[in-house]
Amino acid sequence: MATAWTASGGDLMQVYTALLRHPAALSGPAAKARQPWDFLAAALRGLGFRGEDVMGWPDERLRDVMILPLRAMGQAWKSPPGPDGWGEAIETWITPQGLAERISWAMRWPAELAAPLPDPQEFAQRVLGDRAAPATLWACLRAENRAEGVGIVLASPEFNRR
Amino acid sequence: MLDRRSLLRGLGVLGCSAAAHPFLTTVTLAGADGGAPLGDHRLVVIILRGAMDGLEVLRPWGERGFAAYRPTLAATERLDLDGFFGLHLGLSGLHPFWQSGELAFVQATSTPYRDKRSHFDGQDLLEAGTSPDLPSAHLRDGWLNRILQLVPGLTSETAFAVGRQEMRILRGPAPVMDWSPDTAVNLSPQAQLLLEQVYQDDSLFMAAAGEAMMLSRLDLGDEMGGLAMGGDEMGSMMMAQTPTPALRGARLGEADRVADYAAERLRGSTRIAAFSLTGWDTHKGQGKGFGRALARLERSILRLKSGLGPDVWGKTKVLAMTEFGRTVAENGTGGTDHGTAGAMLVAGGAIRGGKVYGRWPGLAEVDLFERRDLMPNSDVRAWAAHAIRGLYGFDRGLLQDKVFPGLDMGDDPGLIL
Repeated sequence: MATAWTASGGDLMQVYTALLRHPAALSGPAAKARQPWDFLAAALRGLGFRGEDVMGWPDERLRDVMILPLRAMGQAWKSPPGPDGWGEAIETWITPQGLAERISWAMRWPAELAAPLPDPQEFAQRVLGDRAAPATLWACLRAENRAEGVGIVLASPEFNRR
Repeated sequence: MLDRRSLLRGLGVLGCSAAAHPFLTTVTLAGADGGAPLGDHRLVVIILRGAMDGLEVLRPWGERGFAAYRPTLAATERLDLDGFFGLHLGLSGLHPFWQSGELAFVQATSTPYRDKRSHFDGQDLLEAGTSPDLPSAHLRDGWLNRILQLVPGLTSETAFAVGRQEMRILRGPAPVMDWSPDTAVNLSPQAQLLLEQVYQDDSLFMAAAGEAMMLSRLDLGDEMGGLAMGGDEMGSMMMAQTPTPALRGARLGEADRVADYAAERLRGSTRIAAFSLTGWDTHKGQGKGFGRALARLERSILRLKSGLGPDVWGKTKVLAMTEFGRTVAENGTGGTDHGTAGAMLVAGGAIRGGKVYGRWPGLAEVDLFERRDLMPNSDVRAWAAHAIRGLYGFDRGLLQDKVFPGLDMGDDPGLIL
């Protein structure tokens, strides 16, 4: 980052690029949680949806898949609890209520939205990469059906931590 | 260096390795706290969001001029309470509570919020239990949470926020459980076993999922008895009691489920529960919408009583409070607009009911706040503070300094038995 700063004469965009491209930016202990919005966006991306697809949904679907679940997971759309925004601590999000809603979403919506559903293990490798825990890979193969296999991947700690 | 994640992994293995059903272990631990740091009394706070019209619930029909302010609204029938106030028929199911001393009202009360008439700010202030002239730092946690902060030996189950609405009144550093009974963790037995494996090494996820299973199972009553979770004692202990005849067969709305769930928890180790009822913002055609909102309030209280059973109900106080009242006069569209003082409903076996508390300010134009609203004669927070003092024996100084900073509680109104 220091090199990028001096070499570019203080161009912040180049400093950020160096920051984000450094291997350390993408490894580490994953001590925080993906916030509900990021969880939903990542899940939908993983299932093959693009932003335009979601924006093209009818209001009712947008409400059922995004708006209501966001609120239930503790992140009502555009309504943070105060001017300092959403909580950063993982305990803010991985509560019984919050996790239950994530699990329910993961078990229900992929099957209703994605046709066809991806193979759970390929899906795990795609969305989790080398963070996939052996237990998750093991479990998603043993699910009763594809929907639950995909659900297990989305409900896994690796998918929900960041 | 030991990072947080490997620490959690280590704890997870230690905590769960001995158990055949790791989720169940978590449940047992969470349920085993059993103690009751606040003693035996229960407090239920219902936030009526949208500004309930106190003059519609509790009609001062003995007041000259009331009918003239409200030509259509005041013309409907009411149940006489004390010769001066009449009860809206929408609460007639609670009339027996009035007669048995389990229902009371506080008239002409409000928070210190004045003039701005915003629901959001009004509710924030009501839940923060503070005053607009205090530094904003005081506004962040809710007054029920500040009570909990003063209680030693608190457990995760001592206080519960129930339902989907955010309950700022309970937010803050003290641990509070929240759960919406509409959250169903409907997992197939196989998916549940697999998730237990997936969460095995992550104690945070294991604990959260375990509690979710427990909460969700309580919610479903005996339906989930056959699932892999097992553990019959918890289910049967918490199973809802038979509803009163008036409620039997009625379709359960969200408000019913919330009240039932709160009652279940309060029968266990929970001592404080809070939830919201909405639908009070009646600017137009007040008659109809108001009736529906009142029906939800009435049913919530009836279900709380039947769910708690006579013994626990006898130790319970329910406070139903709103952010502000509504204008004395009805508007041109058969509704009322945002006002100032309103009414508070108090119910439970632990109260001295059958009485309307608070000094009646009168409705002559000079007696009104800004010549349009009922004049506040007391602070909502003072009633809450006396309730907490009566139920839990808190020190007056602590209540005035820590829970409701800047409040003068005044004399004990004697609302708690």
